[in-house]
Amino acid sequence: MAQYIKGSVNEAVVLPPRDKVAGSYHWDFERLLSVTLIPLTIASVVKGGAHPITDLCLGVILPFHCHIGFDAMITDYFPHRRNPVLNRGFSWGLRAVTLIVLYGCYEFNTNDVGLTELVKKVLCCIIVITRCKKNTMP
Amino acid sequence: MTIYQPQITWYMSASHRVTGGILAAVFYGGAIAYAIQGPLGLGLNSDALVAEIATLPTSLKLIGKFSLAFPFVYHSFNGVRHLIWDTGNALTLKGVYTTGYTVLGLSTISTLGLCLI
Repeated sequence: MAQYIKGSVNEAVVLPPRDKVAGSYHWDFERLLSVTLIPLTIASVVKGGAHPITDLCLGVILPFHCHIGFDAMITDYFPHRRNPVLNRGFSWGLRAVTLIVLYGCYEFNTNDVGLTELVKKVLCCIIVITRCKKNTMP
Repeated sequence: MTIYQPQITWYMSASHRVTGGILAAVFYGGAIAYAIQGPLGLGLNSDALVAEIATLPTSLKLIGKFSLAFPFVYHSFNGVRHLIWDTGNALTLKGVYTTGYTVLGLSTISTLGLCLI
């Protein structure tokens, strides 16, 4: 993890070009997704079952939220200045994987019961003390 | 890094990232497995998953519930704490510690509640 100087000590540092999309808009978008997830999760819990709109929103917003989180980890642990090849490899790999996840969520929401219903089913089948009261009909 | 004094600040920050990573890895793994199961013929669907889980012993069920509930709840509450910081509030030492302990307390209570459902 050595530091190095590009050129000589007498040359000014070249900063990366200013880019609102990669900068402050990215930050805004990240916080917007996080904030949206709060009422979305509460709505899923309160509704207690499948609902196409919450499933659709979850199936889009959750993968994006995870993607941004993983992207932050890549930027932190494999910075472009230090590991250019790994950084680019992981970044593109992450984009490919997120696309597959988006497709998988769409398929699951369409052909299977949907994300919220899955969580409810799994939780209700791991009952310990009480019984899940709502909608235990087949 | 191993000589840095353990403090609630960076322990909670690291835990936020770790819990997020674990949850996202599970979510991604499940979604990818479901997406690419066609040519592989895995036969994954929600009924098979529920049937599989129903056959597990109660102790494993409890462990599974805990290991999913706690990261999710912790990451959610700490996420709210991050969003509070983004509005510019609680950015003092006292604020950080107070919100930190609140998050830990809420996470423990909620995990207990979720595990005992």
